[in-house]
Amino acid sequence: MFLRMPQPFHRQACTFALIGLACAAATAAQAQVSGSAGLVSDYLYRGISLSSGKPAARLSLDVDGAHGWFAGGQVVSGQLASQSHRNAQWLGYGGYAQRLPSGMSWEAGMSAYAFHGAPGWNFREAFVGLAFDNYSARLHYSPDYLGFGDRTVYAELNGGAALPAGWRFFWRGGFLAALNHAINSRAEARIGVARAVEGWQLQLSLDAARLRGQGGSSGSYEASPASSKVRSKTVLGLARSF
Amino acid sequence: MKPGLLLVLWLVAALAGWPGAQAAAQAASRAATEPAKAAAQPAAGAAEILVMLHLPAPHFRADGYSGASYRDDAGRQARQRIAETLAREHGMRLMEDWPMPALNVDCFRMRLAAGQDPAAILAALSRDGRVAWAQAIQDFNAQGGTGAAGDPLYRVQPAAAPWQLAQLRKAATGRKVLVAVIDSGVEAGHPDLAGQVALQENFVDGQSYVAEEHGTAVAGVIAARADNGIGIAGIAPEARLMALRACWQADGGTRCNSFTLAKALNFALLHNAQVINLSLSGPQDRLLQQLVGVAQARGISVVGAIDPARSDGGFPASSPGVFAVAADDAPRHNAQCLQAPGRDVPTTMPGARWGMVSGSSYAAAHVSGMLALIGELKPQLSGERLHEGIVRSSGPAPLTGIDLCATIMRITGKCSCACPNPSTDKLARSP
Repeated sequence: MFLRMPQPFHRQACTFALIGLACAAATAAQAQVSGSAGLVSDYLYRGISLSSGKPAARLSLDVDGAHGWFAGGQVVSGQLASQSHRNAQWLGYGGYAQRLPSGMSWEAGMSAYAFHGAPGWNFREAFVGLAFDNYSARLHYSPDYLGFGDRTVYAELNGGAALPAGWRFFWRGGFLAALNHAINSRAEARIGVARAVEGWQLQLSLDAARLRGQGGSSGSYEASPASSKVRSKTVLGLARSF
Repeated sequence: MKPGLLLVLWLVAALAGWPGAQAAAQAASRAATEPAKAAAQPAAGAAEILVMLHLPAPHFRADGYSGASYRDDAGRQARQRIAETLAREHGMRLMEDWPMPALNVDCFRMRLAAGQDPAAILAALSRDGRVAWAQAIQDFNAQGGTGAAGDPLYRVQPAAAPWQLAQLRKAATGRKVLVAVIDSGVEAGHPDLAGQVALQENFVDGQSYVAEEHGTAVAGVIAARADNGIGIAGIAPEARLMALRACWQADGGTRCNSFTLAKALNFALLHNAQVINLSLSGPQDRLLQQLVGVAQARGISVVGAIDPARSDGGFPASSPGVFAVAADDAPRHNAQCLQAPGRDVPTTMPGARWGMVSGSSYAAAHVSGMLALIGELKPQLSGERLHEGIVRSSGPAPLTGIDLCATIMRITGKCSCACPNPSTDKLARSP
């Protein structure tokens, strides 16, 4: 078992500072405020469940400024493996994105996660990304991922395509590289379909993760003898976008 | 239950029934349905304007909604709300929107109430921090009229002999070069155009895609099939056409406007056109000028027909870097003007017919075909370098008409016909 760092309250402060920034930016006249509120049958985060395999509610807010700056936040009713009931899991983020004359766009920013009732899990990340047409790629770096004292780089590639009758197809492939403990590295993938109907977003996906030496898929992070397991789960999501 | 969880559940429940969210959804729904109801032309006395809102670049979002198309971005409802508010504040009616990522704007078409002064509203919008910019919708007109072995009509094609088309086809046919014809509808099933149209889209609201005279005629000049035993041979018979209907036949002419043309230009940019043919002309237009600028920055060649009735030749021909083309029987407009066959040109017509046409529209189509030929031979040459090589390098001697064979020889160093001028341009030696 990994040793937990002392409770990093400064990370929690960072999370709420970013969410506060988004709320403050939302009041600007030229701000474009959007978001969604809804339910997911399981809140999977990079291949592991942060809701103990149970349904979770989520609310997200995103604010775009007129000059490329963006900020946002999210709160999810998650439940970590070590918890006996649901708790709020907060995310705040901010950054800058710009479209280039070629049509490609780039972004850079930071995000901070805070887990109510489990502050030892709080962590921050910096990210950079590129997007073109229906594809995007992003790299996230965390100096202390989920508070396990492990430096990680998470690489993700996303894509999508329009389908007939208003449906669309989407996919994601991601790899989390644990720089200090390679045994904690994992690959994950997501493939699904979605449809937007009058402000509602419906998503159905198959999520799979290849875990190396990890005992569970419910947020636990305990090492076991080196092995490789592929776990998959079907996830249904319904959200109202605004 | 923990307070945090209660907060989440309350917010979800509240937002699901939140009037703002419902209004946004209704607005989106209305905007989606309005185009079907909206006529191509505004009602008499009701002007229309375009209001541009900032379109953010795609970025990380917590909810991860990444649209599979540029019309499906997650922040669209935010802009819909702002547009609804603007329309309400100024007594306008929101008709539809069209995101234009190339310009970082979402373009909203709004209809003014009868009697409203567009200039006053545009001035007010230009001072509004929510608005990137706004402009009136202007009218544009196609620049050509229509009348009614290998290719039986080849011998009467005015470009056949002087441009040595038969010999040129041994060196280049425009193979796989994608030419966007932004015009009225093209008859893709015409026997001389069968298989030549790779993409077809309609951008005229309230109408479905129909084959029309001007678009079909322009398409034929550029890319009619060669050696098929019927009709004519296009200048670039193996080019691929993107038939983008942004104009419509009306009152004996062919009309377009800022919005329909902008949608088509945006589409051409998104689908990697290599040559954009605009056989039309009109007043200076900020939105169209910016889209043409983006096309040029991406290396696309843009061709415009000169309107002899306008002192500057009209937009887009008057725009720097655009291949401005007049018919070779018309007075040369200025030193940057190209002249190409534009009188009594046999070409394809709707109804599987052929007919004779005249005007700078068809001269422009000849130049688009020429650029497709060069594009096959020198695909790496940008439109800007081609413009430099073809137009600006022509020197002080007036061009009385393009010598296609010599031009291709000069630009590419390749020619299969008897070139009167064997000298080659530095572009021919470039990779």
